[in-house]
Amino acid sequence: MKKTLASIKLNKIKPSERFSILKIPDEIKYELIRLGISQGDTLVCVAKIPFGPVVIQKDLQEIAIGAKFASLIEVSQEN
Amino acid sequence: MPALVQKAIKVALVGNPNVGKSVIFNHLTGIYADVSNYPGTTIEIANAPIKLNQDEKFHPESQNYIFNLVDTPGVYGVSSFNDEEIATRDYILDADIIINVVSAISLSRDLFLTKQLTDIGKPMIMVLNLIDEAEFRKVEINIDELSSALGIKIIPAIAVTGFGMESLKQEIINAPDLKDQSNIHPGKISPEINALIEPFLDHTLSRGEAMLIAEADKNIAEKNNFQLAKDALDLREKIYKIRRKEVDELCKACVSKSGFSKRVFLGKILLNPLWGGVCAALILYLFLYKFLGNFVAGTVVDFFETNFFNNIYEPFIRNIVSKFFPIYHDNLANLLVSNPKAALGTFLAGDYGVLTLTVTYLYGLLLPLVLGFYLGLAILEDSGYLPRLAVLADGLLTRLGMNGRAIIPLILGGGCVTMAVVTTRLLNNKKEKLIAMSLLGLAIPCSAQLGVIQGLLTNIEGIRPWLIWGLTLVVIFGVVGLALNKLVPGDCGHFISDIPPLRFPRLKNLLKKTFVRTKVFMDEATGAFFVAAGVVAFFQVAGFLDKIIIFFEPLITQVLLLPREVGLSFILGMIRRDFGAFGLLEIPLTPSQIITSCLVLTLFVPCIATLAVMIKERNLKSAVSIWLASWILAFGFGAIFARFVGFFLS
Repeated sequence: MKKTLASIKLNKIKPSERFSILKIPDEIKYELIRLGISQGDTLVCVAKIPFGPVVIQKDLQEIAIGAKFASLIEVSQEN
Repeated sequence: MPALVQKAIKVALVGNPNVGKSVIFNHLTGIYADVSNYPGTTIEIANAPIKLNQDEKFHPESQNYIFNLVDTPGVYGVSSFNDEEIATRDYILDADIIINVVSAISLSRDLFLTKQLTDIGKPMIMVLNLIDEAEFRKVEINIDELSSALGIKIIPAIAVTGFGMESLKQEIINAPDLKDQSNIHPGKISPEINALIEPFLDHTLSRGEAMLIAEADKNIAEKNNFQLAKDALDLREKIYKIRRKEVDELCKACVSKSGFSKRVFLGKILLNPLWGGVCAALILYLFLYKFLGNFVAGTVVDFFETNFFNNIYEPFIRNIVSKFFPIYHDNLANLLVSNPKAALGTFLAGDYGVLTLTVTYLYGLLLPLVLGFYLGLAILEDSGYLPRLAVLADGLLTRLGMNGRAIIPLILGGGCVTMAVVTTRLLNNKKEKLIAMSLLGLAIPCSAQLGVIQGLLTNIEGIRPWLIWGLTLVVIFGVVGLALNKLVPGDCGHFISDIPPLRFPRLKNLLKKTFVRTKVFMDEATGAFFVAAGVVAFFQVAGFLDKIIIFFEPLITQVLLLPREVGLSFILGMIRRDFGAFGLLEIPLTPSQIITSCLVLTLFVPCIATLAVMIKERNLKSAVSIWLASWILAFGFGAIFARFVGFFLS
């Protein structure tokens, strides 16, 4: 039942960590809903390129989000 | 037989990027639309009638119809977020039947578009492609349940092998009792979303248009003189979220999965910052140096160019021509008046002869290289590697004012810069496009140049000349990119990309793609090449060649310390990049002269075709600036290299 609810930015998440999405900025919200990612989803980080994109996975789908956008998405880490 | 008036039925292939639409288009029409495994490639929209074989069982009415199939650009949803979406949206609104192509391994992504299409309410069939991949990944899909939930027919398919294509064709062909009782139904419209769309339906709009206006599509609203409400975006979000929820529930009900595969593991390795980088370097080394540089430009070209064309073909032609006309070598005077017969002989089979050097160059050098390049590219594409490379390169390319996706035009530039400039469309904004275009124009050699450069560099022993040439380009590329990122206003680095699964390329598809692209390239190059070669050969016999060479002589001999004949290659390179190589291989050069010419040739101006595309995609000012900048860069660096590169070679 323990969940850390502290909000951090997506670019701070490390590979294989699970997180849920708290807030996505408007400019990419619609694009991400289409790809299957929206507020409230619990996802896993697959890869993180230093100074580069974060790759996250939902079901079998892998999606890369560039560093700039990743720093705008608020998430909370899950255990 | 009386001529039939056929009614045209518009059929649109619609789906997310990279799900097999173009392959299906090939199967149904027999026409090859360029297929590749990255988004943004369906740029020229292919449109052709579905091919019907004589022996096929038709619906009795079907001969009264012609089915025009259109291969739309891949999109994740219908709206007007970018140019491709606008194009696809308009084809959807115009279509009579929609074929929604869906990838079985990414249903939760693909079904968003599907649900949007069923909400539009046009007759629709789903092609569930890649079912072999789904099986391989232990993804199980309950097709019957999915079909009844969506209210549309689903055809399982493996498009690359042709599986499912015949049933798809039958479905479409048998559709035309459209009027009374259609075989193809519109899907089920979501009642929750329908309630939100309904208020917009009284505006003499089609259902699709009403849905798009409800989803705050500005473009469609304007077209119908409809004023969007202030909170239009909230409604869009509401609809999108409902649709997303419906898709997620649908997936939960119809898709189950288990297992883990080696390819998933490899996919992870390729995205690892360290190992992915090592793999990328290794792949590029194998592709550019080992395969293109050593094997194709070295072994294969040597075999064809030297053994066949230089030693057998050219003497044979000269032998025949010289029976009728004298051939002059080293002639630089005007022969047209003094000796017209020799002028013709030299025109046909002299040093720059239309029948000799031109043919050798086209088929001995250019053809193997272009084949090699496109084969390598096809492997990178079909395996699903390019999007991973884009992820790895994103951080770097963002610093240079672009985003990871720019890796695609930059690599394509290694084939044909002109074609690559067209694909800069897949970048987000003007800034990214301008920077990618500039770098393509300045620092990326096309396959023809690569060929000559590789031909020249293999004349020097070892990997060192390659490293000098390559690293210099990398540095120039980086510095120009950094500078432009600072100078050009606007922002960059908008990168959201889905990563398609790794696939094992199929030989048949690789070969087909390679041959078709090579043919397109050669068809276009051959005519232009003969014309240009004809002009050069004519200039030679008319004595002009010498005058041009003399005019540029100071620049070539004083600034670049190169033999004056090299000037001709550069001049020709302005017309078409591959002519830049014309005759360069025949001129004896020292190692440092070789590296200098390779560098100048790479940096020098984009060819006329590229300029034209740049003007079309951007504007005259950008194109001219890039053109002038390349003069400065080419001769500036050339002058430095001519004097100092020797130190690195000894």
